[in-house]
Amino acid sequence: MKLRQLVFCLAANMASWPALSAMDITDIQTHGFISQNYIQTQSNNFFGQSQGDGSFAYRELGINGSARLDKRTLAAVQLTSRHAGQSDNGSVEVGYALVDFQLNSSSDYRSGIRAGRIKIPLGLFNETRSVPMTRLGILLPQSIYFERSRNVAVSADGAEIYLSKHLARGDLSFRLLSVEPNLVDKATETNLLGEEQAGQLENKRSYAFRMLYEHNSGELLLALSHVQLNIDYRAASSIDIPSNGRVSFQPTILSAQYGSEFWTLTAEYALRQFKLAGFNSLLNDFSGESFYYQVSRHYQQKWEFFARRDHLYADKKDRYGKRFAQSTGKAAHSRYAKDWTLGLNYRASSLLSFKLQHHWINGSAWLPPADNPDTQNINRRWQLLAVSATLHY
Amino acid sequence: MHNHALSVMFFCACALFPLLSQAQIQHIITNPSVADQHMDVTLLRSIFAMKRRNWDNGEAITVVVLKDTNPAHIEFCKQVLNVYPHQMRRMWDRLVYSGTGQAPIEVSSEEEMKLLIATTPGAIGYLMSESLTENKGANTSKGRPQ
Repeated sequence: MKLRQLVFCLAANMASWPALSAMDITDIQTHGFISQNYIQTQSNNFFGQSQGDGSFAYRELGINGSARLDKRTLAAVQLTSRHAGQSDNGSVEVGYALVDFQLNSSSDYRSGIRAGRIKIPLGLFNETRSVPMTRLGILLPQSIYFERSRNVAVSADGAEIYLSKHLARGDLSFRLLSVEPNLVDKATETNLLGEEQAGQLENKRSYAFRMLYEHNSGELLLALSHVQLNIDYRAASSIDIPSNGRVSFQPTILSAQYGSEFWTLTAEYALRQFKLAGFNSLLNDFSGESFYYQVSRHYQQKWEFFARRDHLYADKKDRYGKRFAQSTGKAAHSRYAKDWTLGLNYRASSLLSFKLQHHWINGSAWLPPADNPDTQNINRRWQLLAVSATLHY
Repeated sequence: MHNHALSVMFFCACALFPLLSQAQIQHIITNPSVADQHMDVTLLRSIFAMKRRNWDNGEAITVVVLKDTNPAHIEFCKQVLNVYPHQMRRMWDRLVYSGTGQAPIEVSSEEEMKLLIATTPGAIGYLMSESLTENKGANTSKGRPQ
């Protein structure tokens, strides 16, 4: 059965259930958050005019609701708004809207299907990256979870099957998604094709897979995720250069997290393959590489102090952008970024959290282009201070 | 040699099917509707991790917990589930904010927990204060260790 038919059948089936009105809808839950951030940078702009006095142009808002429609079925929806300098205008978006039907739930196995708009399970944090409380600090490690082209991999419309096996000391789970990505925008185009082009990008059927092992209820997490995002490019006219083509963006992420009573260690490695076909053979395949490691110390369920090292290379065969600079005349430091981050999180109550972090950065690869239109004024070495207050319930 | 073989077998059995000690089981309380449910640590962990939605008898599971900073919650996580409260919170947040699950119901006292569990079919929670574990409506010590 084709995916579209499956989604349609599921939706039609739900709508036509005679008992819908009499359904035992229980456990209705709602959660929400509002977060205001202050960002100040030395050199370069990040989410607004952040140099000098800093910027308050980074705000996040979200609300979600879920309900059990019956013993096997869960429905959930989340709306988010994100204002991030020139990169995001704060419009309300449906983060997810899905129905989760559990086929089997025994002491050994759990399996089911989900359909609708689904968050893509890429690495440990992609699914919940819109939500400040779930992040490691204010900004996630930008090498993997970059803000500059986040839309392309956050959520997508389609369906998935999941299977989870309970082992003696942990859970092994698999998720397989078949989706059509949404929100292809100009920032994505710049990221995928190097610069804005006259033609149009078109979403194509794409796939995601994640295998996750959770040992001892989350003491140790090990994950392998892979996504194949397919996007077609339609040139504006037949004589246009580049001509029609297809981009297949294929990130693979290995993740590990270990937590003890006082310490949490997190590390992820990403290989980002860009496979390009068409385009008059003007654009070639390339692979980017990223990794980070972070150590956190917890105090009394309220305080968390962390230190992180983060590396991003846009092209692993040209790590420091030398060939890129020679062939394009653009800055070599736009092809890599390495940074140290120190941060402090404080959970003041179950409703209110504060965070503080400072980055020392070498390279501009994850700098949002929209906030830095004058590329001549971008510096290789820069610093970023971020402070946030989040209300959540 | 015989004793040694027995203790090895016992160790293997424990590793595969972690047993709940009486000290652990006496803290668990459930609504009488699920009094017959067999309990073990694996089941409890998957229930409190919000991964399992139904009891063996098909009844929907409702999980009730205290706040993250409540000493009884911290003790329950560490002593009974053998996890830390910040790990539980991380797991619940991941479910809630990805749309793939729900969070437990949070109450502010053990009295409130006891009342809610007694009146909610399929509910499960815990009481760490000895004075509260006298049975008044909710089932305490009724889960049978396997």
